[in-house]
Amino acid sequence: MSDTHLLEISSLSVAFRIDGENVEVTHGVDLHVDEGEVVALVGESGSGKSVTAMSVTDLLPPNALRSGSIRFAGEELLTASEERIRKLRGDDVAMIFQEPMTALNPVYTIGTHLVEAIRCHRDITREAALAEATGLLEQVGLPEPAAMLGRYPHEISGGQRQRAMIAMAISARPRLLIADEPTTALDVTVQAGILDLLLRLRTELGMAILIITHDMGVVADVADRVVVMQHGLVVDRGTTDHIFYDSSQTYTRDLLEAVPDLSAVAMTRSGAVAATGEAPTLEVAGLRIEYRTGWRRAPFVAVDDVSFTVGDGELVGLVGESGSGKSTIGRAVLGLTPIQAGSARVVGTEIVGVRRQDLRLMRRTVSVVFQDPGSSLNPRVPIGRTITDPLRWNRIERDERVLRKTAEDLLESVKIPREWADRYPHELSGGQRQRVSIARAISTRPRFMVADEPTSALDVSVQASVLDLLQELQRSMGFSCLFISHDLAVVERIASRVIVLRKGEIVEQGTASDILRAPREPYTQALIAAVPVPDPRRQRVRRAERLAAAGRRS
Amino acid sequence: MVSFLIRRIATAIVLAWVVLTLIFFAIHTVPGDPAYQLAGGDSGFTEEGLQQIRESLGLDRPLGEQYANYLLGVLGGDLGESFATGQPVAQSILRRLPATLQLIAAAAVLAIAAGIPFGAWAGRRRGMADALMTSVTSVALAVPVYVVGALAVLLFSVTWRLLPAGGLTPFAEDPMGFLRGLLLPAVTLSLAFSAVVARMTRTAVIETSDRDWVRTATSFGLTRRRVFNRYVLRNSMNPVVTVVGLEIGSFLGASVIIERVFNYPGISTLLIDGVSARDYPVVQGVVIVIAVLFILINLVVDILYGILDPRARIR
Repeated sequence: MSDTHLLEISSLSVAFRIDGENVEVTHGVDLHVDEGEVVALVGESGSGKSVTAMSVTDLLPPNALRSGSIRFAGEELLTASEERIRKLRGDDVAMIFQEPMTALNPVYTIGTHLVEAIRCHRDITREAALAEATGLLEQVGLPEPAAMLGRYPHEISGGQRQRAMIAMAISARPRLLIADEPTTALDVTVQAGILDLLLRLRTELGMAILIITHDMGVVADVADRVVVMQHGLVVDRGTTDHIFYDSSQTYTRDLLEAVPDLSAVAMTRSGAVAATGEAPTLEVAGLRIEYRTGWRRAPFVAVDDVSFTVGDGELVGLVGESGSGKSTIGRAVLGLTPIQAGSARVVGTEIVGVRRQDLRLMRRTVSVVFQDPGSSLNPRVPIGRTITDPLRWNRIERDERVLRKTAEDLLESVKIPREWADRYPHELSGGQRQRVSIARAISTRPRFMVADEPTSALDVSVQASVLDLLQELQRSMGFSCLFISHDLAVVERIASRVIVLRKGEIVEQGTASDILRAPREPYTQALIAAVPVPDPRRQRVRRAERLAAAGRRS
Repeated sequence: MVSFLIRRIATAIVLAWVVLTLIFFAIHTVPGDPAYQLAGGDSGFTEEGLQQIRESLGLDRPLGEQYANYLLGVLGGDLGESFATGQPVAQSILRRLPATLQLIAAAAVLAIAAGIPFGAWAGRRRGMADALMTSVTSVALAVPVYVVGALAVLLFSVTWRLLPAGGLTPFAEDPMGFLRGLLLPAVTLSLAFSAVVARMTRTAVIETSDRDWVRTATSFGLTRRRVFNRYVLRNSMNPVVTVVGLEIGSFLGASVIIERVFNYPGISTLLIDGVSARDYPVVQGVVIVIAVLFILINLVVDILYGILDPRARIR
């Protein structure tokens, strides 16, 4: 061990002053990062991982109090002057953030951002800085760097924005890059590209990376060492292989257990239900959906000539990257989006050209679960009432005593205590709220359910239990389900059949094991290859294979 | 940006046409005979006399023709003639419009110059600065403009004899006298407005300070001052510009009172005199001018949006 680490955090506690009281959120965190090393800081939401990382360059809100010690290259930062910290930021320690859309100022071009970043540490002319900016954009693999300088953040894609952020971050050749969930908001193929870039820059510039993530696949893919946090404490640490294969910590093992692993070698399929012989619940044929983009402009084709069925009692996964049209299809089969051509029969009702009354009748037999339970539950209504509202609206049941009893039974069926019927959404955790959404969705005993990314906003351990619940209910109640997701591993875990979408068209469909184990289409193959699996040894092989395949293509 | 400008200007023209049409039809749907109304509801007029009025106003012609004549007249700058003086309305308005515009412009400049820095300071410092700002602006907002005006006249003109109590010397004749005449009415008019601008700026600054890009800018080592000016303040300007645009529009109303209090020779005096004398072409002319001004101000605000925020250009 060398005598000084590049970054050494010891017994760091962070508290926030709220209403005159100090609320401690991290308790005596110790961790270090050495030169040129990639360290992953892992934990679920609320574990204190971001707070710890933001402490390094003092980017916490003004009401945060830090105690303990943070040393960078031997220099104590907690007691350093504000001016010293400012000089350190960007120059020695740079950062990139999760959501590149909101992390860039919408009123400045990419060029302006880069010039600002370059010129705040060096006294060079704007022209010289611009020339350097072009070089940086090229280094991070952005096409047409010169044109990119004049673009605004909203004019480029999420992956390009994150690359532009990285270009800003490396402009002063920092010795440490802190990356806070840098790929969480991105599609898997884009994520793979960003992770490749970070690893390449690590080698080229010799910088260390502290990556904060909740994704164990990303950890297995890039990290040399791992630090696991839970409830503001470091609960486990070690080399990546140690954490994944030899850890004796219960929390680490539970966390790894909960991660859905795409095409794990000894995977036991948890038994997705295949269709019964009955008529299919959903029949979509030649579906075309367009969005108007403006006066006298060609409409945007969101979905084009899509045909598939969801059999009675079957759970079908609809997967695709952002912009593939998967959510649009989900909305269309519920009658929420106009359909330009084709047909969609939902539980025997043709949606195209349907009369209002028939649509209302149809909706009694279908239901939907959305991604964000926080915004899809009315914050002013107790959950017991919310989950029985579909029964009221559809005039299925009016007796409030019966409804109350139903609400309690429903809560019980989603494993929430029946006494909680009078609680409000804000008193519940994210996972509990999603269970409430599911309870509402099954209140009318639907024959068909659309689940649009129902677990994407949840932590992995919670995600696993929500998926189990959904599957259990689907099996016992016998409804069919169209499960929309960007996460192949999640789909593999619960779907019997899978449909892969790309840019509004179906690439491939078939049984889950066929599609995910032996995809025929190059797009599906690339998609699956891009998913990092939570198994470092296997991931190393996958990474090498993916890069080799990419090398062959280019 | 060019297509954005064209779209905005086209929208403004359509809006102006709609407003002109509304004014025209509003007048023609007022119950009763306009000629009789114009005659002051005076039973002394004979049917013949009323007929004469109708002919002189063109009221006897078909509605479509009247409408066409009206629009062509407005486009050509012809707003008819005053009943009371027989002078063209357009001329009387043009004579008085500059004074009103000067008053509004001066008040707007004062309000922006005082309101934005005050609000930005409170939003940045929070704590005591915030409390001070909130109480000062509460007072400024609560006291009616005629009270402030009367008080200002009493103190500055009557007691201390520092500034003229009313009237306005044209700039060309006596620049200092002009500024002295403009000062009290403009400050009075701008007082409540500065308070609104200050509060809007404060809220926007506090909200923008929490944005991710502000943290990003800080994380790249920019100085606090630079982060504040280029990232926080710049991005806080959109709501402020909206409020400024709307408030300048409302000045056109508030200046009616100000012009009375300070005996200021502006367009509002014309309006009030016109209303009380039932000088209907004058009223219509002033209303048209105010409406068009309002549309123009909002056009400027829209264009400013496009300059301040590139995302607004697509919408």
